[in-house]
Amino acid sequence: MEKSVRMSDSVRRLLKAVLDDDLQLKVAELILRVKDFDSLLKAYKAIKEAKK
Amino acid sequence: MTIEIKGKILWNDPLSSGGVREFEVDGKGSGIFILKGPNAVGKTTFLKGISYALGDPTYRDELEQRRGCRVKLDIALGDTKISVVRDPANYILEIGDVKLENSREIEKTLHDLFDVMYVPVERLIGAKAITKIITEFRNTCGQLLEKIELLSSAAEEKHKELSWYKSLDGRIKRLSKRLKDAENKLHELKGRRKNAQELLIKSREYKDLLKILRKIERLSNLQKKYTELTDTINQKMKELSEIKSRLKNIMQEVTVEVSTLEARKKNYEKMIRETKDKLKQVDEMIEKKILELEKEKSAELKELANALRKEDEKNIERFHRKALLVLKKMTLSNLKEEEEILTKILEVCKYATHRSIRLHGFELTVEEVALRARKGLEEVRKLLKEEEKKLKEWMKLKDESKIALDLLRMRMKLLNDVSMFNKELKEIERKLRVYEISKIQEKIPPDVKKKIDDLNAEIEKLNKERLDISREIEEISGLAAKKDELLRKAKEYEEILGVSIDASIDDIDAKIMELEEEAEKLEKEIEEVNDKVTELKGKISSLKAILQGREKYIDTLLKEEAYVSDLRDILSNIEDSLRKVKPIIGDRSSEISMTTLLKRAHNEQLNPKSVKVLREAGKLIAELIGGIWDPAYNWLKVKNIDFEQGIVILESKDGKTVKRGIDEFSRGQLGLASILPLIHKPTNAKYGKIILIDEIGDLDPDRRREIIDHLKKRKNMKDLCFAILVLPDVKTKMIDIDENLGALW
Repeated sequence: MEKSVRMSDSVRRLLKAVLDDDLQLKVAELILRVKDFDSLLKAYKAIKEAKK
Repeated sequence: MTIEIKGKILWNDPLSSGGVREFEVDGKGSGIFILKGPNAVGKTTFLKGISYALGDPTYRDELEQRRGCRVKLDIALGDTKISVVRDPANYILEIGDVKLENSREIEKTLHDLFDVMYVPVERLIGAKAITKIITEFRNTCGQLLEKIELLSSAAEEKHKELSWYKSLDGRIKRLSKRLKDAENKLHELKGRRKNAQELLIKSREYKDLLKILRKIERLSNLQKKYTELTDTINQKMKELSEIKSRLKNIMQEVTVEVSTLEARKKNYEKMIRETKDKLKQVDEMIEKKILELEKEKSAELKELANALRKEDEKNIERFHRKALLVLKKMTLSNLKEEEEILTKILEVCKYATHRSIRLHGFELTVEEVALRARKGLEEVRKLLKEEEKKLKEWMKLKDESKIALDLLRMRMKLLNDVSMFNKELKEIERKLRVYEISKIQEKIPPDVKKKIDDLNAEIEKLNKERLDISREIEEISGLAAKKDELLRKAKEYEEILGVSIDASIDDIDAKIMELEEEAEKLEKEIEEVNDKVTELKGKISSLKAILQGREKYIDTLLKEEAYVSDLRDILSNIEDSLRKVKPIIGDRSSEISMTTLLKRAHNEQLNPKSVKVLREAGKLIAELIGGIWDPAYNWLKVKNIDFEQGIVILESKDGKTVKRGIDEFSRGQLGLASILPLIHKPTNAKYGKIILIDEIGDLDPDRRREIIDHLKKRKNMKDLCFAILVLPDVKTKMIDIDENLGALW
């Protein structure tokens, strides 16, 4: 379990290189976690509103 | 020296029953241990716990704050026993009989005794691990692309739904605008219709007014016509009169004959009247008589009254006959004779008072005779009185019945007379009627009669016409008095309607027709617009009905619109970016090793995104490797891995850059190279280094053996206290490598 978390750190770094910005990276992480679009939307909304 | 290690670690884990987990293990031997156990049992936490207990600050925050760890570690180095207990609140070190409880003091003491090195799995970055990282990255990209496809589709659905609601809203707004326009038009049309209707009413009034004016203009003509008609009627009347006077002579002849009959008729009428008067008087007398008789005490008289009321002639006759019979039988004269005799006897008895009389063989004195005579006289007189009373009653009955009979008979006679006279009168009247008609018919020629009828009909018609004209003249005369006022009013209408006051009724009718057509047209137009308004209202209402009850949901959707839009873009951008690195990471069917990356970097046409990933992967792997052990340079820091050029850039301790081809490294060499500098690092600690290496399972067996060899070398050099290496297994145990070398694989 922990191994996958550590691997994910590396993956996150590589993904960051692929993606345009941190927001895309966060969204990519959310995509892997969420079950559906509504959950993604909710999480994305929370991120955007936390920034305000 | 035998080394014995006993360790126990407890940490908070909300997912486990009781919220706390623990890991406990012990081992004894020369000092190089293999810690085995199932995945996620706590082996890594235990290694971190040892480094934490022995004063390494690297994982303090993680173990204390995040996991609330409590570690108890007992180390026996030959005869020396060291015991440590550490948790967020306590830090106790016991060495033999010495017990320390001051954190700083403990940390300093332990720092002097041990050089603790925990080597995380990242440092064991062999080719296999690198392959894992890159493969995981590729898999993650694949997962992302798959999920993005689903999420994009959902986002698209959401966007469509949003667009649909917005389009619905837009449609409602557009329909509402059309409705407003239609309602405005309806309002304007209704105004125009009102005007047209007012004009129509005015036109009709104007028409009536013009009719009156035209009539007033015709008044003199009407009056002339009236005079003409009167003349014509007079002429006709005269003609009729002449015919009638001719007829009069004929009529006179008839009249004489008729007058005789009429005289007879009058005579009979008079007789009927008189007889009826008499009858009335007789009726009154009968009624009076009935009332008189009803008041009498005698039963016969009352019965007589009843018979009279019933006009029962036979019964009345019976009463009369009975009275006569009774009266005839009355003995009143005998009694009077008897009275006279008895009176005479008494007279005689006065003069022969002392004598006696022999009577019927008995000797009686005069006194006795007188006494008897007086008694007899009294009786006779009494009888006489009674007989007189009866006589009176029967006399009355006789008289009254006679009167009643006479009255009744008179009445019957009078009734017969009236009936007879009426019959005669009717006969005369019938004769009069029949006689007059038949005689006239006989005497007047048929053409004259027709002429009279025609003249009468003509006169009647002319009279009617004259009456109409007369009424019209009367009416117009009344209106003519108001001519000025009517003209002024007509002028007003002329201005409003634009139809000349001198116009004909046809002209004003044409105007009315025109206005009626306009009103009808407007009516139709209003109806159409009204239908349109109703239709639009219906449409709006049905569209609103769709939205009804979903306001909150739509509101939320609208509020999220920007986010949805953002996410659609972001998903699309991520997808684009991920697709661009496909040449590097390939499909999901196989693992991607460094060699694969290297090949693809050479063979594929690289886009900027792929280059960026390759460079970041190079940096990442370099950082993870950290350094390598090189026989020529000893320790070399890995600066970068350049996949484009296929080289590893290294840096020596004195700052010299060394470049090596990636293909120069064997599969396990990279990982091994990263760990060897730590094993060979010199130390000043009293008991030497404690090396804790996590997860050597990623290394191949030869590399594991090589590490053990290097550790043994340091053991022989007496600067290694002990080492623990982690390997996965089904059962938790800590095995000394000298006792069982097979534990390595």
